Amino acid sequence: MKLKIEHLFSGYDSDVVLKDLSLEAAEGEFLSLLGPSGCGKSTLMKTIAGIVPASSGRILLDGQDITNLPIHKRGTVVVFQDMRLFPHKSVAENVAFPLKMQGVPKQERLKTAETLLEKVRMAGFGSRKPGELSGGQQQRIALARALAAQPKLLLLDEPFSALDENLREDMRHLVLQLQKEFSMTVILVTHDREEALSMSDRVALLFDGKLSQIGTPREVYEQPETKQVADYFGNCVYIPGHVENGVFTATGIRCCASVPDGAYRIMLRPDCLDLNQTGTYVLQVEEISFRGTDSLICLRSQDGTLWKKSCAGPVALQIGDIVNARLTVTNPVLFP
Amino acid sequence: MRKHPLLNILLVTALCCIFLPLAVVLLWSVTGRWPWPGLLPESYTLRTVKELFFGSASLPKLLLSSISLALTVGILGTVIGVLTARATELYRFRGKSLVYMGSFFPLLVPGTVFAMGIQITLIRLGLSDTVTGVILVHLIAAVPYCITIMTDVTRSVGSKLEQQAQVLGATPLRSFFEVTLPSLLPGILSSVSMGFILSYSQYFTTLMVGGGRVKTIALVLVPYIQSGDRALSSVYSVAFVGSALLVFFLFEGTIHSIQKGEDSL
Amino acid sequence: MKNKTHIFLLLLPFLGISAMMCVSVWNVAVQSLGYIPAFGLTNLTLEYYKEVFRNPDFLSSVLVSLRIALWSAVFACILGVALSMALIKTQKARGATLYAIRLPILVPHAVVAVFVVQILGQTGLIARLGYALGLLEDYTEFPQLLYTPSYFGTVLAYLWKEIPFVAYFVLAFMSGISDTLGEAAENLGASPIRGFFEVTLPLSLNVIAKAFLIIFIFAFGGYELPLLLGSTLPKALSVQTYLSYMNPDLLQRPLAMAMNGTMLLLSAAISFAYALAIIGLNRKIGGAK
Repeated sequence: MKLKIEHLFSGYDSDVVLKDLSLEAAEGEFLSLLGPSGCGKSTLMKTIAGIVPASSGRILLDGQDITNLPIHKRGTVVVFQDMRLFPHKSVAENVAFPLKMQGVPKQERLKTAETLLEKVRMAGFGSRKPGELSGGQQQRIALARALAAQPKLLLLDEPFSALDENLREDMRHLVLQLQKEFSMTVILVTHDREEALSMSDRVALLFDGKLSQIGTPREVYEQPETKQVADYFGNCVYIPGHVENGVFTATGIRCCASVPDGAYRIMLRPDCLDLNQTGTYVLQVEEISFRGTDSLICLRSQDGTLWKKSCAGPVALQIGDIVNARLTVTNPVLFP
Repeated sequence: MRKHPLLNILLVTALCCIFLPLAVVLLWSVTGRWPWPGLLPESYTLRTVKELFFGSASLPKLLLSSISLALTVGILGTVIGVLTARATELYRFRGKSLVYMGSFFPLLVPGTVFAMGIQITLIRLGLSDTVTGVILVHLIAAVPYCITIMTDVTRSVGSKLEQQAQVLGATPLRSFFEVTLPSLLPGILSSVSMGFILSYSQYFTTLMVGGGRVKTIALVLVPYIQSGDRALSSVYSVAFVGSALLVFFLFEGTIHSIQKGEDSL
Repeated sequence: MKNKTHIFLLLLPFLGISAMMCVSVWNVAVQSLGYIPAFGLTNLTLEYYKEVFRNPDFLSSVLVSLRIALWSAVFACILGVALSMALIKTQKARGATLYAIRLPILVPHAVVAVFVVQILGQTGLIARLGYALGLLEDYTEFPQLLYTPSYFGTVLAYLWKEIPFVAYFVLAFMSGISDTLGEAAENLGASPIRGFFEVTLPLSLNVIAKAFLIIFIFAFGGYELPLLLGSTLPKALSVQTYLSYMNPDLLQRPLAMAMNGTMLLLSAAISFAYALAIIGLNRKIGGAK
C-alpha cells in the first residue's frame, strides 16, 4: 500500500473532526475524497499533509510512519484551492521553489522548471509574475510547482472549483494525463459528484468525519451501502415493499433480493424508468420544464412517489397525461 | 498541538519581561523600607496609598478629569475616523490617496515639534492653557490610529446592507443608524479605546498646551519620578496603569459580548 | 454635485486636523527662519540654522536622538516580528496570551521609566540579584546603565513598549501570509525557518517597514524617556529643544525653532526613504494582491 491511514482522530482544539478513520490508497491510484462541506475531507487532507496534527492514530506512507513528521519532510504536496503562488517570485521561481529547498543548483532547477511549464502548457511564461496571470493559468503553475516537488503523494484540494466550466474540463484532462505520465498517487478532495465519479479509480465518501463507503465509481453510485451515500448522489426514489423468500415486491416491481424476509424500501434511480415502453407502472405527468439539451419531466406514481426524469429531444407528453411505464431493476438496492 | 520549543521559550521570556516590572512596581507601591541589598522589602505601609487619596492632588478627582479628557479624545477621534473612512471607502473621488497619506502624516511629525509649533497659534486663538486646546493636540496623536481602525472596519462592512435598507424604504440617514452603525460598533469601540490610551499617556503635549492648568495623572507622575521618590512614583504608576487597564478591559469586554451575540445569530 | 458635497462634509473634520498639522509645521518653518513679529523679528534668515549647527552640543544631541531612534526601531522590529511569529506558530494569536502581549501598549512611557529605574538602576532588582548571587559586593560595582550618554536605559524602555507594539501591529497581516503562503512553502519542502525567510518575511516587509517608521520617528522626538532616564550631557534633541524654547531670553526662540526644523527635516528624510523603499517593494511583488 502506498498510503495507509489507521484509526485516525484529528481536528482543531476541542473540535474533533475526524473520528476513527481508516483508509488505504494503492500505488498509482487516483482516489477521491467526496462529501458535503464540513464532512472532514479537507481536514483529512490537511492531516495527511501534516498541516493539522493528528490527535491519535497512524498515517503510513510507503510503509514509513509519517504521523509526527513535520510538514516539509513528508513529501505530501498539496495543490490548494486558492493556488497560493508566491506573488514576489516569478512563475519560473515559483515552480523551481521546491527544488531550491532541496538544494538543487540554480541553472538546473530553472531548466527543470521550464520543462514542467511545458508539461502544463505554460512554456514561455517563466519570467512573468503570478499576479499577471489568469485563474486558469495560475492553476497550471500551481500544478507544475507541486510536480517539481516530486511528491510521493499529490493532494488536490478542490483545485477546479474556482475555475469556470470550460477551463475545469481542460484542467481535469491535464491532471489525469500528468498522473498517468508520472504514475503518481493522487488524492482529490471534492464535493463535485460528477468530478469524483469521472476522474477516480476509487471514491471514498465521507460523512460527519467518518468513512461511509469506499469503492469504484460504479460501486458507490450503483450499490450505495447507506441511504446517506445514495442520497448524496441524488435523484433517488424509494419505494416501500417487502421481501419474502428472496423476492422483493412492491406496486409494479418484482425482483430478486438476497436479504432476510421483512419490510424494505427499494432505491431506484430515474434510469430504470422507461417511459417509452409500456409496462405496469402507472404515472401521471405533473410538470415539464424545458432545459435546452433536454427536458425534465416530473411524474407521480399511484403510490405517491415523485420521479424526475430527464428526456432528450422533443417531448410528446403533456401535463396531466397518464403513462404506463416499465421499471427495469437489475441490481436492487434495499434499505430496511 | 505541534511543539515549538524555541518559540515557546521566546513567548515565556516575553511574558516574564512584561509582568516582572509590573509586579515590582506593585510591590514598591506598598513598601515602607526596602534598603539595599534586600530582595524583598523590609516593611510594608499604606502611607503612600493614603497620600494618593488624601494628599495634595486628590486621586479620584485627578483620575476623573484624566479619564474624561482621554475619553473625549477617543470619541472625537473616532467620529473623525468614522467620517473619514466613510468618505474614502464608500465614495470614489480624486485625491483619495492623498487622504490616506494625510491620515498617516501626524505620525511623521515628532510630537514635541508639533506641540512647540502649534502653541503660538493656540495662544492667538485663546486655546492655550485650556482643556479644549489639550483635546485638540491630543487628537493629533489619536486620529491616525482611529482612522486606520475605522477604515478597516468600514471596508469590511461595506455599503451593501445599507443599500439593502434603502431599497426596503429607509432614508439614507436612517439606514446608516439602523444598519451600518451597529455593524461598525465593535470597530468604533476599539477605536475609542485606542484613542483613549493614546491621550491618557500623553505627557509633553499636555505640559506644553495645558500650561499646568490642565492636570492629568501623567503630569503629576513625572515630577515624582524626577525627585526619585520610588514609593510615590510607584503608587501613582499603579493608579495610572490600573485605571487605563480598567477602561481598556471595559471596552474589550463590551466588544467581546457584542461579537459573541452576533456569532450566535 | 450632491456627492461632492457629501464627500467634502465627511472629510471636513479630517481636513481640520490636517490643517492643524500644516499650521504647526508652517509655524516651525517660519519661526526657525527668524520671522516672529511678536518678538519684533521680521527678517527671514538662515542665520539661526547656521548658529545651531555651529553648536557642538546640538550636534551631539542630534546624534544621540538618531541613535536612540535607530536602535529602538531596529530591535523593536526584529524582536517584535519574532514575537509575532511565535504567537502565530504556537496558535496563541488570540486569547489571554495576546492580551498579555498587548499590555505594554497600554502602559504610559513615564511608567516604563519607573520600571527601568527599579529593575536596572544601580540599586535595582538586577543589582540586588547580583549581590544575592555573590557577583558583586556593593551597588557601586553594578554598571551604570541609566543616565549615561549611551542612553541604554532609554532604548531599553522604548523596546519594552515597542516590541509588543510591533508584534501586535504586524500580527494580523503576518498571520494571513503565514497561514496560507507560508504553509504552502512548508508543504513544498521548506523548513519553517526557510519558509519564513523565503516567503512570509519578504511579503510582510511592507507592514514591518511601516512599524519601523512609526517607532523611529516616535523615539526620535520622544521626550519623557530621555528626560527621565538620559544623561545631562548630551541631552536628547527634544529635551535640548524644549530647554531652549522655554528660555526666558526670547531670542533663543528662533534657535529652538531651528532645532525643531532640523528634527522635522530629518523626520521627512526618513519618511522619504520609507516611501522609496515601499515603492521598490511593491514593484518587486508586481501586479499581485
